[in-house]
Amino acid sequence: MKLLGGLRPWVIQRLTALFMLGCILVLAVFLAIGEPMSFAAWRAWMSRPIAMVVVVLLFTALFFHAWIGLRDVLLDYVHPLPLRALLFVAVSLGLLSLEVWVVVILAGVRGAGT
Amino acid sequence: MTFPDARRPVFLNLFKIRFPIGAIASIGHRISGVILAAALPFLVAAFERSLTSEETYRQAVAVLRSPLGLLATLVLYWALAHHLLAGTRHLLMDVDIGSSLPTARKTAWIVLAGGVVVAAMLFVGLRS
Repeated sequence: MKLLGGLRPWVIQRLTALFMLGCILVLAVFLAIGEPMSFAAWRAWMSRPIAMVVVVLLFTALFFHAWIGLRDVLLDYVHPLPLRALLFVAVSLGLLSLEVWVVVILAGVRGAGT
Repeated sequence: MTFPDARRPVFLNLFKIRFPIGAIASIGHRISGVILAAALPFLVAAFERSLTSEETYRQAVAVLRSPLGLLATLVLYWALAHHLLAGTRHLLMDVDIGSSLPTARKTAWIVLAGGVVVAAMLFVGLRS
């Protein structure tokens, strides 16, 4: 599998990890000091362009991270090549559709206004 | 893929390897990672429900507070806590912090215990 060979997955795994770690620390601070949000406040917060960009980046990093992690698990534990390839394609399509779903959700929030 | 000697020993048989503490932290990192990956569709679904309408927002909260939802939440808190701590340990080791064997064994214990403690704290602290 040369699709993601060499050092690249290792680097992506670490960069996405650092980015998500930063986001989670910020989120932890919000949860610690912030009030619980009502639906309206949550939706208003999520409809701001900056929040959308950060959330799309966060989900994208998350899906890349999961993709490489699951690929490593498949490479180590699933040996029959056809099965491995099948599972890898399934994982890839699954994560890709989740990414599309996230964009659709956010477009819906944006389209409906606040 | 060609190997010089296909009969070389492969030490990935989980039922045959001995597990030192670092290996337990490491396999925990994998297991928690797979659990978190399996939760992704539910995460996105919950994200959608939470933003669609007042009613679906309440439904999502209700699902999370059902007995099954609470159990799933607890497992996911552990998976997240363990994965973050074990991942941070790996990142630090990449820059050669804590990579000596005695220290690595200590931090493996810290990660294993810390995952459980942080999960319990999140579970109790975020239920309000």
